[in-house]
Amino acid sequence: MRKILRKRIPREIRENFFRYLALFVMIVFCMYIIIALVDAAETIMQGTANNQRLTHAEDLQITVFNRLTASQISEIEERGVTVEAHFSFDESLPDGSVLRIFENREKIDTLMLESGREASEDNEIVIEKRYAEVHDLHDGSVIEIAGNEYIVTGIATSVDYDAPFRKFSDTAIDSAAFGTAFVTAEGYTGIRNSESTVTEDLTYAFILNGSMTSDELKEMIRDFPFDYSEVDDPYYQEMLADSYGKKDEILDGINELFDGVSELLDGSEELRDGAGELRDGLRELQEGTGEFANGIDSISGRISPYAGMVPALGAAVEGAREGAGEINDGAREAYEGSCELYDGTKELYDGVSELYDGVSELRDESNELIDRFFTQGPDNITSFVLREENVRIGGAAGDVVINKLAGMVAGVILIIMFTYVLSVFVIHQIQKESSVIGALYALGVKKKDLLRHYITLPTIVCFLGGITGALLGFSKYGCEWQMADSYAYYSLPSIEKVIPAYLIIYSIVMPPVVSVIVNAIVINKRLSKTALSLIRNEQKIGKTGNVDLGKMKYLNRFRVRQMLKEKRTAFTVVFGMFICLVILMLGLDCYVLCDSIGELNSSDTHYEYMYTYKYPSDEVPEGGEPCFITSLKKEKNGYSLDITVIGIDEDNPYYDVETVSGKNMIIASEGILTRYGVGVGDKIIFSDNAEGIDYGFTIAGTTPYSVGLSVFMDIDSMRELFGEDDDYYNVVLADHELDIEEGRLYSITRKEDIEKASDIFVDLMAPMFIMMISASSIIFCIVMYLMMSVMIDRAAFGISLVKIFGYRKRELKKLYLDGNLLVVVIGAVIGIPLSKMLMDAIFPTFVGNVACPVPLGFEWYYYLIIFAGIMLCYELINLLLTRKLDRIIPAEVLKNRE
Amino acid sequence: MYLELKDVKKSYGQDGSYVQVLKGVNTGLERGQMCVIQGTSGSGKSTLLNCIGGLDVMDSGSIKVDGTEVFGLKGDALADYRRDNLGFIFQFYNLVPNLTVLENIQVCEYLTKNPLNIDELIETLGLSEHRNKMPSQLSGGQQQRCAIARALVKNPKLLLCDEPTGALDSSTSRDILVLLEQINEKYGTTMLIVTHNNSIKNMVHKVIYLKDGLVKKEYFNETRIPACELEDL
Repeated sequence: MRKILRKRIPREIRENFFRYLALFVMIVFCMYIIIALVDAAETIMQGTANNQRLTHAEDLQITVFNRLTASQISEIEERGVTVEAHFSFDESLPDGSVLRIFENREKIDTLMLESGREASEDNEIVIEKRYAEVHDLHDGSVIEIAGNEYIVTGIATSVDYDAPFRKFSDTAIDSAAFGTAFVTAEGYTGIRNSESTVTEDLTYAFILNGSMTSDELKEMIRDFPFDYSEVDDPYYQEMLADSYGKKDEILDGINELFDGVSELLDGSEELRDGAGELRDGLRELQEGTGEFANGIDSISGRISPYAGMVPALGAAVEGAREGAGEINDGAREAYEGSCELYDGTKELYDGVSELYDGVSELRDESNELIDRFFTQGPDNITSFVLREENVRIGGAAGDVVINKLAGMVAGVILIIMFTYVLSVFVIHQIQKESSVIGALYALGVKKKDLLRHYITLPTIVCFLGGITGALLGFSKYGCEWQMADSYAYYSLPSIEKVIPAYLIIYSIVMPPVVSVIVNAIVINKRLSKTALSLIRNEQKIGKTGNVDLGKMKYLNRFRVRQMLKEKRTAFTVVFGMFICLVILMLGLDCYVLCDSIGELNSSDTHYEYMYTYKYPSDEVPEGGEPCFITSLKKEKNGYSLDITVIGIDEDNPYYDVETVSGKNMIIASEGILTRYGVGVGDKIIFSDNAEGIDYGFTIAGTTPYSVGLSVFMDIDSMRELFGEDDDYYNVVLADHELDIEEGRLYSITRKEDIEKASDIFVDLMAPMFIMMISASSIIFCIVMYLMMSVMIDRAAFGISLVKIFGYRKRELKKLYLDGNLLVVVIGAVIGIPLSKMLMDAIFPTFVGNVACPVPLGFEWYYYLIIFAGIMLCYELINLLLTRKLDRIIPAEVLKNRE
Repeated sequence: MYLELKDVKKSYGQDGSYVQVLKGVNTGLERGQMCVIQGTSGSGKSTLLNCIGGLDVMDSGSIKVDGTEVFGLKGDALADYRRDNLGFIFQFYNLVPNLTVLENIQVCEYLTKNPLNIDELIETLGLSEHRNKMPSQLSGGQQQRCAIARALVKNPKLLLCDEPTGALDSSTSRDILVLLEQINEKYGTTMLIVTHNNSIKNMVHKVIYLKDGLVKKEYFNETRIPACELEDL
C-alpha cells in the first residue's frame, strides 16, 4: 500500500512544483542563515578558546607605577606563576591614529602571525591585523614612528587585544584610530626614549597556573616594598612631593603641639612648685603669727596685775593682744588658701602631665602611621584586570554567544512556521481527496498508512531543505561570510572553520522531526473522520462558521464568511507575518540602537575636549572644568560592565544634571535604569573589583545622558566617598584645546572622536540591518503568497461558480482577495506593536556585553513605514493573485458534478 | 429567435485522443420557451449547454443569445453576458458551502440593479424557515431550491439547467419542476434543460434530441402536461 501511495509523491511535486519549490527554497534559505550564524559563532568561540590556549592567554594583568624588580619577579615565578612584562606606550602617527607599541612577547599573549615574521631588527615592526587592514599596511610597508621609519615584517593578532579598544571604557572599536604594534626590545627602548613619547604603561601579564589565586597575587605584589622615589615620571614625583609636603605639615603640626604641651607641662610644674612654696611660707607665717599672739597673751597675763596702776598700759596690751589674734587668723586663712592653690596647681600639673603623655603618644603613633603610609603606600598597583573582565579579551567570542543560542531557537521557530505552511497544503489536498480517502478507508486502508503518506512529502521537503541549507551554511559562502562581520570588527586571526557534530545532527534531524510533529498534529484530526463522512466530504460547520452576521452588507458578509472559512490559513499568514516582524524588529532595533547611540552620544557630549589625568596638577587649567570620574563594575547576565561615576560641580556647563549632595546619592542615566531594571529611590550596588569594595548607592534621580552607562554625583560627596582631597579632580572638560603637559594625561578625548566612533556602529551593522529587513520581507511575501494562493485554490470552486454567474475580475477580487486585507491589517496592527515589545524585551540580552544604554524607541513614522511596507507587500501579492484568479476557469464547477 | 445556434462544433483532446463532441449543431429557441435537450451519454448535450453558457469555448460556429454573439467573448464581456442574460442550475446544486441560504442568493442579487425581491423569492420557494441555514444543514431538494432562487434572483432571460433533478427523489423532482414551470409562466424566463429524465420532455415547449454531436430530432409539444401531473420522475 505504502509503495503504491509513494508513487503519488513525485506526481504531487510535479503538480505543485513551484509551491514546493518556494517552500524548499525558503527552508534552504533559513537553514542556510541559521547554520551559517551558529557555525560562525561556534567557530569563533572554539577558535578563540583554542587561540587563547595556543598563545598562552593571560589570566590577569596588573599595571604598576614602578617596575617590579628582578627579585620580585623571581619571587612570583617561584610561586609557580608565569609573568611577563607587557609595557607599552601610545605613539601618535602623522595620520592622527595612535599605535600602542609593545615589545615582542615570548611567554604570554604571544603573537599569532597572519603573515610575515616577528620583528627581529630595531627598525622592524609587526602591526596588528585590523589596523593594518584599515591603513593598508602589508609586509614590507614602511611606517614612520617618532620620526623614524620602520619596516612592517608581519601582520599579527594578539589575544589580549582581539577587541582592540583603546580604553577599557570605550564602547566601539575604531581601527582607523587605534591599533597595536610589536617591536624588538631595542626598538621599543629607542622609540620610548624619543621626544614624542608620552607616559609608559607598565603592565604585567600573568598566568597563574593554578598555583595561587588572583587575589593572593595582588596581595603579594602589594606587599612588595615599593620605593616610590624610583618612579622616574616627573609628574608622579610631583604628586609624591605634594603628598610629602602634606606629610611634613602634619608632622610639624604634631611636633609643635607636642612642644607646646611640653612647655605647658613645665609651666604647670613650676606653678605647682611655686604654689607649694607659697603654702609652706604661709604655713610658717601662720605659725609665726601664732607664736606672736601667744607672746602678746603672755605679756598681757604678766602685766594684768598692774593694769589698774597703769590703765593706759593695760589698754595697749589688750589692743596688741587682739591685733596679734587677728594677724594670726589672717595668716591661717592665707595658709589655708595657699593649700587650696597648691592642690589646684597640682591637679593642673597632673592634667597637663596626662595631656603631655597623650600628645606624646599621638606624636609617636602619627609618626609610625605616616611612615607606614608614605613608605608602603601609595600602592604600586594602578590597575588589576582579570581576563573575564577584560573587554579586550575574547570580545568576538562574547559577542557571538547569543548568536548560537538565538540562532538555534530561531531555526526551530522558522521551521515550525514553514512546516505549518506545508501542513496547510496537505490539509487542502486531504480536503480535495476526501472522498478518495473515505473510499480507501472503506476498502480497509488504515489511518496510520495515510497519515504517514501525507506526512512524507512535507517531511522530505524539510529534510532536503535542511540538508541543503546546512551544506550551504557550512560552506565558505555561509559560515565564512558570516564570520566576515567579526573579522571586519575584531582583530581575529584566521580561524579554521569547525563543523560541530551537534549542528550536523540539528540540521539533519530537526527539520524533519518538526515537520512530522507539526503535520501529525494538524493532519491527524482531518484523517480521523469516518469513511462515510469523508466520502460525502462533509464540512463541519463550526461555531464560527455559523455565526450570525446580522444585517451586514452582502460584500462584507461574504468576506467575513470567507475569512472564517480560511481562518487556519489566515492564522498562518498572521503567524508568518509576526515571525517576519520579529526578524524585522531585530534588524530595526539594531539600526535604531546604533543610530541613536551615535546621535545621542554626539548630542550629549557638550565638551570639545576631555582630558583624563594620570597626575592632576594643583591648579585646574584655565578654561577647564574639573570633574572626578571613576569606573566601577556592575554585573548582569554574566557580563560585568563598566559604570562611569562622574562627580561634577553644581554649575558644570557640560552636563545638564542636577546632582544631590550625599556620599551615596547618585543621579543615574536612563540607560542604567533600563539595563538594570531599577528606578528612582532604589538602591544599587557597584563594585570596585580591583580593590574588592562594593559601593551601595541610592538613585536620587535620572538623567537622559546617553554616553555609556553613567551615574552622576556631587563632586564633593564623591571626593569624600572615595577618600580624595577637597580639591581633587582627574578629568578636565573644555570647549577648546587646553595647554596641558601630555605627561600628566592618560588620554585626550575629542568630541569628533566620539562622533566618528558612533558612526562606526551604523557602518558595521548596515549589512546586518539590510539582511534582516530583506530576509523578513522575502519570507513574509512568500508565506503570504503561498497562503493566499492556497486560499484561492480552496475557493476555486466558489470562484468559478461566481464567474459563471457573471462576476467581473474586479468584483472577484473584492470577494476573494480584499477580505484578506482585513486579516493583514489586523495582523499588522496587532503584530507590529507585539513584535516590537517582544524584541525590546529580548534585545538587551543581545547587547549584554556592551556598556551602553539601549535606546530602542522608534519614531512614530517607523511604525507607519512598517505598516505601509506590509500593505505594499500585500498589494504586490494581490497583483500576482489576481492573475491566479484569472486562471480559474468556470468549468471548475463542472468537475464537481461527479 | 431568442437563442440561435448555427453549426456549433466542439472537440476535445489532440491526435490520438481527439474526440469531436459537437459536430455542427443547428437549432434555436424563442423567448419564454422551455426546452429540453435529451440524448444518450456522450451525445454532447452538456457540452452544448456549457458552450451556450460560455463555460466552454466552442471551436467554431455561432451562438447568439438575444442577438449577442457568444463565440469570442472574453473577460469582462463574457462576464457581462452571463450576468445580464443567464441563470444556472446544476445537478449538484453547487451552493457556496460557507454561506447561508440567504447569502447564497445574495451572491447573484449583487449582480443586478433590479433583482427580484429576495424575501418573496424565498417565500415562493418554501425556504423561509431555512434562510439562515448553511447548505450542509439542508436536504437535497432544499439545496436545489436555494440554487434555483440564486439563479432567479437576478431575473435572468435564459435559465440553463443541467440535470436539475438528477440528484433528487421523485417527489422532490416534481416540486422542483413545478417551481420551474411557475417561474416560466410568472417571469417569462426562457429555459434550456438538459436531462436524462424522459418524463420532463412532456412539460416543455420544445424537445431537442442530440446524437453523436448532431441534432437528431427536434419538435414542439402541441399539448404540454403540467409538471404536477408528470409521472415516472
